[in-house]
Amino acid sequence: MSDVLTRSEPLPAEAFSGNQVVIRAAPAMARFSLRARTAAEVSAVLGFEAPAKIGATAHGVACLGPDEWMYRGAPDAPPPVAAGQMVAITEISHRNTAIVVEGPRGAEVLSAGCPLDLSKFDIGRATRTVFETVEIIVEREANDRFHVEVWRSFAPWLWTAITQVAAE
Amino acid sequence: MILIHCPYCDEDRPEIEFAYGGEAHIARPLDPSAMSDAEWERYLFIRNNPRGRHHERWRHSHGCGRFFNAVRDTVTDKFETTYKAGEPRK
Amino acid sequence: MTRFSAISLIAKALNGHKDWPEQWPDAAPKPAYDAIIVGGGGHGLGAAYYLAKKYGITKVAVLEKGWIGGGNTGRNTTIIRSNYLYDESAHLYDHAVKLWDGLSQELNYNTMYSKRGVMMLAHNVHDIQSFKRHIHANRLNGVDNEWLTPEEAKAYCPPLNISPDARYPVLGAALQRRGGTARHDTVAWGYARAAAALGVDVIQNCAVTGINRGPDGAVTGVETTRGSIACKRIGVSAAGNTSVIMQMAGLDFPLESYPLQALVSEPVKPIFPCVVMSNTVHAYMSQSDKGELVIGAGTDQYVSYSQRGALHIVEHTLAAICEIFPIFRRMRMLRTWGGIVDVTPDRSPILGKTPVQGLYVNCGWGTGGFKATPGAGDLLAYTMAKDEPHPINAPFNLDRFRNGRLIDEAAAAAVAH
Ligand SMILES: Cc1cc2nc3c(=O)[nH]c(=O)nc-3n(C[C@H](O)[C@H](O)[C@H](O)COP(=O)(O)OP(=O)(O)OC[C@H]3O[C@@H](n4cnc5c(N)ncnc54)[C@H](O)[C@@H]3O)c2cc1C
Ligand SMILES: [Zn+2]
Repeated sequence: MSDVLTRSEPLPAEAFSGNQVVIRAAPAMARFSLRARTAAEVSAVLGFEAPAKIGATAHGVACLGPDEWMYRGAPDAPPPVAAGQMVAITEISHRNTAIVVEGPRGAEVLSAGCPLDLSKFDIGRATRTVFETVEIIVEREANDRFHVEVWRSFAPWLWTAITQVAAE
Repeated sequence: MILIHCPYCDEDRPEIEFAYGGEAHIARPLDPSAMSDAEWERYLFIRNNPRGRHHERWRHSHGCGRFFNAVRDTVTDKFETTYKAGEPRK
Repeated sequence: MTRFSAISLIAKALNGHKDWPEQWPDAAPKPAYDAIIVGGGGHGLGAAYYLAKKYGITKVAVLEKGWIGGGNTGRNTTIIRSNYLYDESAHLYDHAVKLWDGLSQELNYNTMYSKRGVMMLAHNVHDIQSFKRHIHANRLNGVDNEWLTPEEAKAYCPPLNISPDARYPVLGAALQRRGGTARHDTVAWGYARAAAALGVDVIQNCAVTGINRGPDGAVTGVETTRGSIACKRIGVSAAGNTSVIMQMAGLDFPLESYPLQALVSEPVKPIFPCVVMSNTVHAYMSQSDKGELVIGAGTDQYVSYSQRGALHIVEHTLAAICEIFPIFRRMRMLRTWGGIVDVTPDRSPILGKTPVQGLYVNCGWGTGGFKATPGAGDLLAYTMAKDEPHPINAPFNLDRFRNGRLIDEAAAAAVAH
């Protein structure tokens, strides 16, 4: 008898909605971690300009550190090819999952567990930080929309924590 | 919780994003087999532990991921400065 | 020294406790002593007492920069146990626990040592293996420590939740019945009173600012905020401030000082009969005679002398307490405070001679030296009186960081209180 492995989703399909905030699982997407010495090398690999400033985003690429970028694209996006460039590329599509927090109370809900001053966190900025003890990457996609990347195994906990805060 | 200025992110960030890395500027031995027991003791175990200015390593582990150095007053916990790894002792 | 007895207590009580005399004099420094102890915590006061009592060295001063017991002695969570893994540690801590036994009688001062038992919870297979290893090692050293099933653990401590679907299931526990708690200040006060009665000067508000040495390098005295004092033997027992004092003698030490916090809840009726520790969840708790839950938190991650810790450290501890004792979720916390603990690379103390003639040290007890108070005092006194360590503290020398004979309790247990 052959066993069929099915991948279970760590987040519920149904969104949480209430108290001026909607929380839902982000749609599936491809994710790549790129490590390089300069933004120029990353740009050469991607074929478009990658942001050079830590915390900046452009064209789905976030600069997370002086030597680290994350690129998110459509689920079927092919991995970038590093031909000739000193760039390490790792696919992390399934290591991470993401939660979208949207609505006028979005920042307030995130602030319950995230120590960043979100009132000073501009649209288009992304950074690695924490929610309580769980590491996350937050990107402010719009004034009242945050995209929260989290490792798969932490996702159920994060979902419970964020929706609980939102419900209160 | 204290705010720490990450010299890479160029921003004040909350302490819980950082991991403390102990006393800074302790050079790794270049020729370990030539070292005496006393030199090993100094390298591995002896620490300044001053009451006042302390040079120490931090890593912005839940941020940009980089190690950097800092000077902090161990009585007030106030940071005097932070600087990138590899820069000379301040 | 006015001796306490049932009769004297009743007599004074009938009189409204109005005319108790001063328990020991507030001494001023004299120009010279035979021996000086730096640090008026339990360890230092104990050393002074045993120097006078056992070795007849009575021209002794204890110099305390603040008030006696104002350091870690008065800030700790008072857990007493001796179930450490290594032979050297078991002997060291058990020597102290044996002294705790008769201490109230010896000092004629109630230290409120209560052998209510210290229970360490096992939450996973690794805990079980590690605790059983401790139990076997302890028994070989004649130190009591026993394994309890979850049911036995619950019988010993009824608030324990042993349901298999608890967030951190209790798979068993190690219990040291002779372990327990004592009242921290009374230990400092009891030793101060008894030492003073034997002729020791207990001098408060007197910070040591320098160590004087003669042409041969040996110590000749100390500089203090109240003038110079001559002496040929100095015992440093200054916990978190040891590095700073050793620098005065030109010695670099293998120590780092960290803030360690504790907190107490509002007082409630007796509910918690023993001490419970969970190394895995990083929490431990007992209930004081006043009814407060006494909870120990962790250290801050960085070296500091600020004597206060960060709030997120306390938060983390309370989250852990709520996980293992959901019953206490609605308790309110009354106070938090911090002390500065001196931590060695192997988490074992340093008790012995130093490279400077006449300078002795007792330090590195880190987060767990209250339990050792009588033992450390006794052994420091021995070492100073004989100019050589007692066999019990001989392994805890400074040389071990050079010759590699570490006593690595850090690797043996995650929590060290
Ligand atoms: C929050 C907390 C919880 C703890 N819990 C436990 C526990 O449950 N069980 C346990 O066994 N241990 C525990 N400990 C550790 C324990 O408190 C210490 O190891 C022990 O009390 C040390 O005793 P001591 O007499 O050496 O130090 P202290 O009591 O700190 O005495 C040292 C004294 O030296 C004085 N001093 C410093 N510099 C100078 C100077 N230059 N001149 C003059 N005087 C000076 C200080 O003012 C201080 O009074 C805990 C510690 C803390 C902080
Ligand atoms: Zn950074």
